Amino acid sequence: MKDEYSGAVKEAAGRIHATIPANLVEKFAKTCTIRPSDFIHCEPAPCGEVCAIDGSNVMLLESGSMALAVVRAAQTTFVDMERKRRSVTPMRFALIGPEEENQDFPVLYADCFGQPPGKTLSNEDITRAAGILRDTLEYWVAETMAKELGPGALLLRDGPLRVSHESHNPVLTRIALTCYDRDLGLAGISKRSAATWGGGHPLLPAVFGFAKTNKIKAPWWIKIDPAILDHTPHAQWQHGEMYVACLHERSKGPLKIELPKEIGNEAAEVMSRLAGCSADGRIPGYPYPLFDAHRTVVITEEITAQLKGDLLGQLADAGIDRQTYEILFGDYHDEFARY
Amino acid sequence: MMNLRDTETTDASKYRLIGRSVLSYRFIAPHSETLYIGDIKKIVDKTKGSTFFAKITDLSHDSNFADPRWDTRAYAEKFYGLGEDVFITVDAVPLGFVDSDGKFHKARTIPSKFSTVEDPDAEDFRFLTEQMGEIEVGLMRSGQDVIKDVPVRIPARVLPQHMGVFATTGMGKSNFMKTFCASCMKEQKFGLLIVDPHGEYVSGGKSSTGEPTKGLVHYTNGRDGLAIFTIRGEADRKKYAMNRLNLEYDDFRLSDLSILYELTSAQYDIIEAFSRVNGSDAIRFFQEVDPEIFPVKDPLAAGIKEGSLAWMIRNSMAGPVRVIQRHIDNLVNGNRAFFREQGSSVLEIIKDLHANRVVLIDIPDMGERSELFVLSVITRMIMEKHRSEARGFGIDEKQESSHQVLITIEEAQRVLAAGGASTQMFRECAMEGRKFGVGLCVITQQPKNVDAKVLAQINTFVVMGLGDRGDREIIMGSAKQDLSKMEIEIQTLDRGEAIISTIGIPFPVSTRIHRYEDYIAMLNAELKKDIRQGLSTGF
Repeated sequence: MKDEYSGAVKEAAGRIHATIPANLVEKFAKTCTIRPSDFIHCEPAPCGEVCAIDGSNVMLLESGSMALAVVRAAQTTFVDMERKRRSVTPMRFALIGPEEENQDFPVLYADCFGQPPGKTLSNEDITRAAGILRDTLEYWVAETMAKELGPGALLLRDGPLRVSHESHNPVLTRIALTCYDRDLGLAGISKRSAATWGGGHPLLPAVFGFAKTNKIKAPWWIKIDPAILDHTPHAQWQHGEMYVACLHERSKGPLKIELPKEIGNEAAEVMSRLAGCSADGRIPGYPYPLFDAHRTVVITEEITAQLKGDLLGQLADAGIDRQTYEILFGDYHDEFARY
Repeated sequence: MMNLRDTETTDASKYRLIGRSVLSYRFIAPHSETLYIGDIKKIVDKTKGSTFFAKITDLSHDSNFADPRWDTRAYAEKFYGLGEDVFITVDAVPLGFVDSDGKFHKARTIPSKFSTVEDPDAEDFRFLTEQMGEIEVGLMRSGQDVIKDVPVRIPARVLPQHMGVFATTGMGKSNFMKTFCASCMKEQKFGLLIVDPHGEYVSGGKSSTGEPTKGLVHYTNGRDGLAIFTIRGEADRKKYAMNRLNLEYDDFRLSDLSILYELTSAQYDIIEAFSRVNGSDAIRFFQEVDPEIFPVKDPLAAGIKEGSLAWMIRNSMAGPVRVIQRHIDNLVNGNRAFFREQGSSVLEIIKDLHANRVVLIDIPDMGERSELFVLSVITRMIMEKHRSEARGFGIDEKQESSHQVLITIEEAQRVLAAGGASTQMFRECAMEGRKFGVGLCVITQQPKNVDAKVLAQINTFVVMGLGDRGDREIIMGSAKQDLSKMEIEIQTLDRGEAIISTIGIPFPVSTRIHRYEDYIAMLNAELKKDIRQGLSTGF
């Protein structure tokens, strides 16, 4: 039994190791024909006006047939190092199930954009559905801010410039156009990336390792040729081009950054501004306004507990007794954890 | 329609009470704010209609960040939005509160949560001004600043219940004492005795920092409240209308030697034997006697009559008699400037004290032993006089003396150290003096070397900066009001600043002591103004 367990652990570790072999950097350079000159050093520049947008979703209740999610989004705008404005959307409750199609999505979408979504949202994958609902609010905040920010501002989104639902595609298109028309910078920033090369090697560790091996001094950035990736992103929903950047010499790792396709030579300026707002001592290498947006929007455990309490009260008023509630949403794991 | 709501743009988290108990307040302030230990804040409790007062006792940096090491990481170069999440945590100690009727109470309740913390002004301290006494020494201080319209005045009625002035060198002790004297001269509420062996009180001199200073004679319009007894020459005495200081042999008691010299038990036996002998007889005896005749085995054969002074110490050895003789010889010769067979100023001194004057005994260049000699003689005679007056009261009469006298003892640890039986007279004065209207003004820079029992008798503490932790702890443990939360403030007191704790004022008051020269200039100007006002301006 012990040998069986050890073998399973060893096999799992071995499979991970196979994706990041000891010669990862060497293999990356050879396979993808990456050269040190592909890395561009950028000097941190004053970041000026920067607006960061983030969203948060939490599953309040889950039963076999349905789930109740709560979502919200927020923006926080800095001018240089001081926050000038911060705002949040109201908490929105959305029931995922028991129908096949989500009933709250069209309402939320219409509330945000004044028209019904082009496509319905399936309730099949609860987590994905909650994410799409959250994205809806995030895109609405982004579009709103794209219209309000001063010319030259930088609009940051936590995540890629790629939609996960067809109905968001026209919204992100409008956002990109508004930014272009109003001379705003736009960037989607991700801490993680699913991108791989050479048959399953993760992209970010390879790029970071290459820079380290070749003593490339941070901050730096590199544009990623989609041809080196194992899977080409879905072009129809993709509004940005992929870059990898390390924005501070003390950064824990690189970020995947997506900039609009039309950006051209202005990429360098955006990267310098991003480096300029990524030197905060608490989280070096990560744009501080995004960190602040996250702190603003996050639905914490305390908030969740409060929401659950409010909800429970309303359910009781509606005539759903505790026992029925437990049958519907009770979690035996809570009971298990007591023993 | 979706909407985007701005979160609060003003920061309400600062300057509101967030904790913690009846005896300990806490609030936060912006990280860039300049606050000082000792700052007084008012906490406005709109719910209860009361205004609480608190004094800042500690300041510390704090933040809302979960990572406790956010500010110590090597790459902490710059930070966004410090104003919201990084702040100063302010700990404060309550002073008391004023209720909706304007009445002051001790802090037996707690302000409502999130009551606003504000800066008080002079009007807020009206209740305190009303409770202040008469002897002005300075202005109330809040942190680095003074509250101009709130003078600190020690109640005269509590001063004969002993006062302690505790300060290390250079903290402004002399300036405080002269300012205190000027107010005593002005108010004339009790008699104040000062023995000055350095000659600095009369006409000033130089401070410990080298600045020229003025003396009590320069407070011209308070001159009626001052009597000076000096050993200076006639020209000086005439110039400043000073009296000549004289002590006569009968003012002296042999027991005074125990304050001036370390005595053995054999020598002390002689002192005891002479306890009822007049000073002149004792001095004459020791001037004439041959110590070598002692011990006297056969008094009759030696021609010593029964009951004579020699007979009283007939069993003493020659050595102790010789030492006492030498001490008396030194005493008489060393204090020839004012110590003589006949002619004493002491009754005059006591009369001036009872007329509520400041009596300055000016003995420049006479040294420590002469100072203690004069002090012990006068103190003993004041105590005897007041005791005698008290004995004269009938059983139903008021037992308190109508005369109140405060006796100043500089470097008090010399005569009030623990276990000093030889300084019994001063200890008696400390323990029982208040019953007879005699108080001590104990001045020392080493309170830990003063008997704790004596410190426990002191009702008014003037603390002017003590570097030694042991000294601070002794003071904090002895004061009638709680000074324990003010240790940092005591430690950081600047020259000329004091914390005054007295039973007459509801809480310990931080004070900026008046600069003596400025204070008397103001007092002199006030009186001159009064005189002008009394004159007719027309013809």
